[in-house]
Amino acid sequence: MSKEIVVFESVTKVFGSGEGEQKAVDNVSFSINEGEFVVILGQSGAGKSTVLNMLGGLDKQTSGKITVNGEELFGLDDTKLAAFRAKNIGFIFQFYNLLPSLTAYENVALSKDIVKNALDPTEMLKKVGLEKHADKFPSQMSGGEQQRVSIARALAKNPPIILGDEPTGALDSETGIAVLELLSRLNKENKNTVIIVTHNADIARCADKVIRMKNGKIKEVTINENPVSVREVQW
Amino acid sequence: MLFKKTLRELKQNFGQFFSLFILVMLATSMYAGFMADPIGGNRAREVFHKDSALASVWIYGENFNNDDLENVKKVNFVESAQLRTKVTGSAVNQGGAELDLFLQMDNLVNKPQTVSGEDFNPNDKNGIWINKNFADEWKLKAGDDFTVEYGGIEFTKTIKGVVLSPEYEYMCASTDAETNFKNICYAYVYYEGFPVKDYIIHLIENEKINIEDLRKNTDIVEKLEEKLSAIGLSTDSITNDTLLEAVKKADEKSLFKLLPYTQIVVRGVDGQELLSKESEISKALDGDYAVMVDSSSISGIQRLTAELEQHASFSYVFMVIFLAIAILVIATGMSRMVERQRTQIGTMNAMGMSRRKIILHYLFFSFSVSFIGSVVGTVIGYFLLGNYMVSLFSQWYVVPNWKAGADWSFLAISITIIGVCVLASYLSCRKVLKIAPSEALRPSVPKGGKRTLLERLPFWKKLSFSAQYNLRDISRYKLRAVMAVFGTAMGMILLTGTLAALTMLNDVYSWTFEKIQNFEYEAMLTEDVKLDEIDSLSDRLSGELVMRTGIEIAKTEHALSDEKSTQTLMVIENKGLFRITDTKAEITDLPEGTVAVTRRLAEKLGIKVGDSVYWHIYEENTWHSAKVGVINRSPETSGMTMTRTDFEKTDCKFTPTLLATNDSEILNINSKGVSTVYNITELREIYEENMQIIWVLVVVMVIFAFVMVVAVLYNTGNLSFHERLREFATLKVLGFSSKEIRSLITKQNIILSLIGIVLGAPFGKPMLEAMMNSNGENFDYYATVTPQTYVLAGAVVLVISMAVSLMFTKKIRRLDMVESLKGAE
Repeated sequence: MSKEIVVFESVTKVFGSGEGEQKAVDNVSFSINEGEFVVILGQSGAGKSTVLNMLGGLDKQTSGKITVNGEELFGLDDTKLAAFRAKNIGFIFQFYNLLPSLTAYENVALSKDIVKNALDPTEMLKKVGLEKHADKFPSQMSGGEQQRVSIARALAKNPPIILGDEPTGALDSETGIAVLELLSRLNKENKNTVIIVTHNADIARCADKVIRMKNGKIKEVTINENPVSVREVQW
Repeated sequence: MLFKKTLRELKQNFGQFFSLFILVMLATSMYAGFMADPIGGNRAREVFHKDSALASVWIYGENFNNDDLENVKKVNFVESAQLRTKVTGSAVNQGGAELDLFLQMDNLVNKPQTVSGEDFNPNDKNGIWINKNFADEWKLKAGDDFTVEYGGIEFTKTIKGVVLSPEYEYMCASTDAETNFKNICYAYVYYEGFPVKDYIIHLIENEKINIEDLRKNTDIVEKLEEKLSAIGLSTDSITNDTLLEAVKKADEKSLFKLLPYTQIVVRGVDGQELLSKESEISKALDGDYAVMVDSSSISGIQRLTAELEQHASFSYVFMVIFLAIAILVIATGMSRMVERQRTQIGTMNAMGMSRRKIILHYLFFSFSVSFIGSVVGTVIGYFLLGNYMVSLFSQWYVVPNWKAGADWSFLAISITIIGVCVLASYLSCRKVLKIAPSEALRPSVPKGGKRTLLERLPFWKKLSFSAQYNLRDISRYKLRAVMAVFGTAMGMILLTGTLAALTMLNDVYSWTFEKIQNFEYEAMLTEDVKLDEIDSLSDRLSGELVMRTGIEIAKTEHALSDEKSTQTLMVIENKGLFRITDTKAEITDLPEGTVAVTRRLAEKLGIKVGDSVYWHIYEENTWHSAKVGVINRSPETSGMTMTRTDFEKTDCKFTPTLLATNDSEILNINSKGVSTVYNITELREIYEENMQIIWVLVVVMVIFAFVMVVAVLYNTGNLSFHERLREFATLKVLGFSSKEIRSLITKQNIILSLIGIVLGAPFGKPMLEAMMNSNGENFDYYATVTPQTYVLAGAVVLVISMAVSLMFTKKIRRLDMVESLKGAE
């Protein structure tokens, strides 16, 4: 049986205070196993991005317990959280968030400034099929290419967990599928745990596990015994 | 990779960082430039003063002797002391140039430093040692003969050495408005080498001294009386001829009592100050001296000290001005930059980059730019401005080996400037850098517009769209507006001040040469001038005699040292040739029975019209009182003015130093009492020549002001452009032309510049006056800022403002509407 890499136990996240208080995540519990391809599904405002942020150590829960890769996140200060992210998490963003003043290669190589044992940026770009675009700046690449650089950047740190916040949200269907395919391949080949947040139900079909959220709560957690291949997904 | 990011973003934000670079460079170059000469000067002076064993105090009196000297030497803390006499004569073969001649027996204190020839030998009867600048001007060297005129006699000695003395770091002939080394000389001779017999004979022949003076100071009369008595004659039988005969036969040494020592120069142990020990020294002299002063009262030393202090204060003032603007540039620029890059910050944070590393990355921008600016500024300031200042001021001041100097303060100031820039950067970034990464990953909410106070005014609705839009924008981005206003205000102050300096120089010119000096010729008079002869000459030429001498003045009788002030006394005849001016620099009368006290001195002593003041001539011990009738103002002389009639009532001897006249016949006068005659036109020309140098400084200041205003306004415009990029793109989409959008920036720049102009204009005058008058208490310039100056300075600022707006023409034309409206960044 695979090891549990992410465990959420009765996690609640409240924004604001007093009359302006808003419960973004309400008493959520779930677990994710090492090497799983997980999709957190929900409409806008369901609390899925907040879950992802807490999982990635970008935000702190108001109550409950979050354990990632054996490390309890509550109580970690800024520096320790940064070290935690450096070691465990690779982020992929909806709008890629590449640094505009760095080339594709340099964006990936930035990982070297963060972790000592970062992987070779050229190898990473090769993995995402962009080795020929190494010297291009983000503004010279398409959205799909930028997202692939973003994936290469996430992989360069060799993290056990890759988090994607609507990674296909800004891409057209075909490019989105290519990106998903890449993530799926990496999940299978590298055994990275991939957790994607999306509002696109079709994507959920290719996940090992689907966590459905609504109004800050988990509506259901389903295990796909036979996930479909990414190529079969369309939206 | 972050380093590469830094380099590329420095390039992308070139305008902003170049402004910062310029301002930091100006701040450090101003500091280094203005400090290099005082640092180098003070270092060179320290060596000079030490090598010369510069006195700690100067004691002036009517008659000092060896007993006095020995008593002073016994006082604790006294390292050495020396007697000397200073007389003022002229250099006969060098156009009658003014000559300060020191007669001394020792060379222990205030030792002249040899430049060429032999060291000063206080036992050499035939030698004379003259100062270098005068020797250079007149091409004199060791071995040449040098003829001195003093007290009506002339004597020639051989120049044995060319020297420099720290007492004459600054010197100016009393006839000159500005230093002209051709007209002023100082020299040293062996006391007993002075032809005292010829001198006394001359005094007797010219009835300057009489039998009683001789009886009081020598035994000549006594011996003569003994001889006469032996043959049955009385004192009445002594004629001038018998007296002269007796003097000729007398032992020369005994005659020196008629040329007594008038100064004791005293050096404290290791040069320590001694003025605080005045009571002990006074006790040693039984209080029998006129005045005791330290180097701060020796004009030849004090003037340079004040000048160097002035440069040092300039260095701090200008550095702070430019640094203040640099801080505003950083604060606005960096906060905009991190705000614009908040998603990048969030991304780097999400990737696991520590907050510290991210902060250091952003601080590196201001660090690197301010570091480079500091280095470049310090180098430029030191090598260009510093050396220029030294060469400029070496024309007026003489200090051997005076070079531009640098010290730890350059490093400290650079580190402080860099530290302040980095701190300003940190303070303006920390808000964004402290945001939780999840929040930083979301674009910031655009700053909301809110109603301004102006909107409540009735005319608001009548304002055009662009005016309303700009006023709201200013209200939204206050710091940016403050920076623009502050920068233009500073530029306005500098421009108003420097342009007013030109008016001031013209004013001082007419103040000196038209209002105070209402004459065309001035004749310098020798000390032995016969009053009745010069009076009749003055009457013949319709002239006015003026006496200028040093005094001590106080508000109370028997004032203590720190309540007295060393000043200049001008005695005039009220004939309208030598006039006084009131506090508004307008000619005023000096009522008989009263004295005029200069404005700054009156302020210092706390006196007003109707009060009494107490004074005594420097070398005389008797104090007098006078009633203040006028508070007057003079550009470069501080002290008291009184009429000859009132002066003579005090029983002080009127010894005129110059004769002022408009009669050109003076040029043909060959009178014994007249040493040199100057045509005021020549003095005016010299003044104008010296003013050329001030012009250079004015031009430099105008350039600095210009660069500062350009840097600030460009930076403001740049920030404004980037902050409103999306708005401009929207306006362009809506159909606004590039020209109309540029006019929005131009109008805002003009509004802010106008506010800066109005706020800065009143401070140009006080800044200029403070700068000019920080050169010592003798100076009391006033600045008149004419409407034309305000208009010109304001127009320059406005033209720069509009020109800077033109720099955005290309950017606006190339504005990519789609890209600007699309992304968060």
